[in-house]
Amino acid sequence: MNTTKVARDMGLILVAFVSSCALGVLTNSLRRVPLPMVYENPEARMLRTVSSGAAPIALEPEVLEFKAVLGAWKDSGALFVDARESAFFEEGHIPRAINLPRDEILRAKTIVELASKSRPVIVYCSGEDCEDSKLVAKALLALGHSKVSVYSGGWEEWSASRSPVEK
Amino acid sequence: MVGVALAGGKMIPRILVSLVFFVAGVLKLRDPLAFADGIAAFHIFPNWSINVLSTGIPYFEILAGIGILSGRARSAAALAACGLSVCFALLYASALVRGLDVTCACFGTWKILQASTQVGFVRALVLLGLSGWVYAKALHTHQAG
Repeated sequence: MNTTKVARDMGLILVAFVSSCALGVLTNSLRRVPLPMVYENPEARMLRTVSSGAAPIALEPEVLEFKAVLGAWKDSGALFVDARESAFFEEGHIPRAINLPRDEILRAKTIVELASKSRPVIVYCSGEDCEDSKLVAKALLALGHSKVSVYSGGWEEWSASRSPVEK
Repeated sequence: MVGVALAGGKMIPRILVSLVFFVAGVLKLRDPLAFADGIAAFHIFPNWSINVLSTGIPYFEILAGIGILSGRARSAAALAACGLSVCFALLYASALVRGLDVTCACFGTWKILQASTQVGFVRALVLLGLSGWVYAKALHTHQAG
């Protein structure tokens, strides 16, 4: 193997990599909404976005079980928010629920501003393991909604219980 | 005729690797935030490095993609492609070992190319094989020349 050639290639790669990172930093600074120098995780970004720059507050939504959720759905008073991606929402969701995926609340918080802030809101996602319902619920709390809960069983439990579904 | 077909056959991996890196770079440039989230999902890189990588790597991939098709810098570009593929494979392997479910946004937010951790690992290995082949050919051509 031609070691001189390999060494020259590696030098070229190093120069290209450093130049690429410098170009990335430069073009990022020219973006309309540049990424911050230090990475923020989605939860921190969401809370910062919805609280308009104020320091994130430790907000924890109430967690509801199936019976309570079914009762709230029958009363028709609560706003149901499906935090899954739209493709899953379109396949089936709790009747009267609106779709509000995590990424959309970052880009369009106006959707949730339409709802009265004192109206109970129940957020769900796929099931026990998903985090998006908690993220969206925290964002709604930070937006000033006072009665926000998370349905922990989510779509998996609701659909398995043979409760009504909408497509 | 056979010679043309053979030359065409040799070009296919080169074109394929070049296209994969070029397209992946362009798609990542369109949504660096999604790529940053993808990098963070591996829980390996410190927060201060993630946004620099998420904005810089796409340009590096585009350079590698163009370089593989070019004449002069082909071996360096192919070696860069090998390096990136090794990094991707190692990241996916570590995610598999730790039981992480990672979607790295390696092709931006283009859902059709988003893959599970297992598929991502296999994809990285295939890319490594192809990049290695292109690099070996580029070195051979250099030595023969």
